[in-house]
Amino acid sequence: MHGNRRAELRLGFDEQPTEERIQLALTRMLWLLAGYLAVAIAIAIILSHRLSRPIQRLQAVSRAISSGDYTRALNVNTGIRELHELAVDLEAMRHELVGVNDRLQAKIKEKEISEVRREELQKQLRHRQRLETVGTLASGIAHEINNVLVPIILFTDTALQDLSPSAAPRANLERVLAAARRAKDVVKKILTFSRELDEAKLALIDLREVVAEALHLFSVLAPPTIEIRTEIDESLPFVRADATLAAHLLMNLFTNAYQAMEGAKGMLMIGLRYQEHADESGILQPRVEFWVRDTGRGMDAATVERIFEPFFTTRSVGQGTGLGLSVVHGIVESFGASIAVESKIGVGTTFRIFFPAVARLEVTGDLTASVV
Amino acid sequence: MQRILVVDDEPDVRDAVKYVLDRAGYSVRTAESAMDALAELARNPADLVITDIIMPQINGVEAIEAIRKAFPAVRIIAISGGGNFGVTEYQPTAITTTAYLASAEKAGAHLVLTKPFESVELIRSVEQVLGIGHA
Repeated sequence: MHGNRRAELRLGFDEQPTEERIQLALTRMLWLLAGYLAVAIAIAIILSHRLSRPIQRLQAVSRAISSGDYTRALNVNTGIRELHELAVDLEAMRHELVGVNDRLQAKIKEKEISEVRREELQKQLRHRQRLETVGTLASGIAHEINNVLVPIILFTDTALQDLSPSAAPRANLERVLAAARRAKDVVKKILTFSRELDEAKLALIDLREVVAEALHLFSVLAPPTIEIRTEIDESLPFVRADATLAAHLLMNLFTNAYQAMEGAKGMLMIGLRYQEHADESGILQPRVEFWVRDTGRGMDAATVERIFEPFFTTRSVGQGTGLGLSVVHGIVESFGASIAVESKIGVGTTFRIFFPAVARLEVTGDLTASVV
Repeated sequence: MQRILVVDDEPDVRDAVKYVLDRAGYSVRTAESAMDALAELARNPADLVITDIIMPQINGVEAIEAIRKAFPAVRIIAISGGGNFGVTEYQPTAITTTAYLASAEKAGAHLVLTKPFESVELIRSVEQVLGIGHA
């Protein structure tokens, strides 16, 4: 096999550079791919962010709305037109909801208020009706008693005329006559008060003057153990009232306060101020409020309820007719004013009278000008 | 002797007024309603009528108007003690004695007198209206 020469041709090439180039191309491709991927991911992230942020925001707000919170505004800033439009629509809806909700809340509140108001009015009405009944009864009784007193007085006083000064029944008959005269005075009180109302001349008056006058009179009568304080506004509107009756009214309230303090140490506070006060239909009206507060023994709710009834009295027999505050009530009504009482046992009582205000005090000459 | 007619639906008031005026020397008759009074006046004239205001059926004010019309020479005194005359509900301004007495005066009463009164007041009022004594 030696002779056989075998020729051996070896063909070959260096594959290294090629491989290197392939490697390079591969690497490049991979880099390129990685680059593309990175960009794609970045774009995806950015895109999803731009998409999901406003969506999340929408979701949060819609959740808040569904749980009853309508106050969060939908501030979605997005370049995506569809999303933007959706957000605008949702915001409009939220606005509408807020409006509806507010209106509903207001309606509910209104209803609650009117319910309370109605109860209050009904109570006032019942109270008034009772006063009216008692008032009607009182004046009917007054008439009857006056008729009964006619024969008692006439027969007794003529009998006395017939008796000699030393006759035995004289003293007794004189007592009958005295008692009949006292009964006459009590009845007269009821009717005199009505006559005063009947003859009331309503004019524009400055309550400060009436208060000053009544206070002056009262300070003479009141014992020094009672301290009097005043809180009177500088400028007040006029009220339409009868000055004499108004003074009568104040004196009755002062006397009542003084008696509530049982002559002991105490404080009588008096005030006048301008105020807006709800009338019977709940509408605020310009009023001049007169208030008088004592540090007396106070009253329980049952007493306060009946305080304006004629002949209702907590004082013992002979110490009061029980007419004072019913007179106050009658006068207040005749002025178209209203009265309120607050009282607490052991603390004291406050009476407030709300006079309809007519015109500012600054008005000179023509009083019809500048109605408050 | 001056003749007086006392008109009141209350017998005690009628009797007491009659008693006092009888003693004072007047000739006194009584009537218990305005209708009675008008009939009585038609039968026997009187110089003075003393009438209550608040009476059933025809009230005193209407009675005064009727008397003034039919018997213009008769003098009239109205008496009243107040009450709920024609008032169905409580009106502080409508229950006053003076309101009735004022309407009595308007109707033609020469004098008005509030119940109750004493005998001296009654006699003085009668004298005044009849023009006796101090005219």
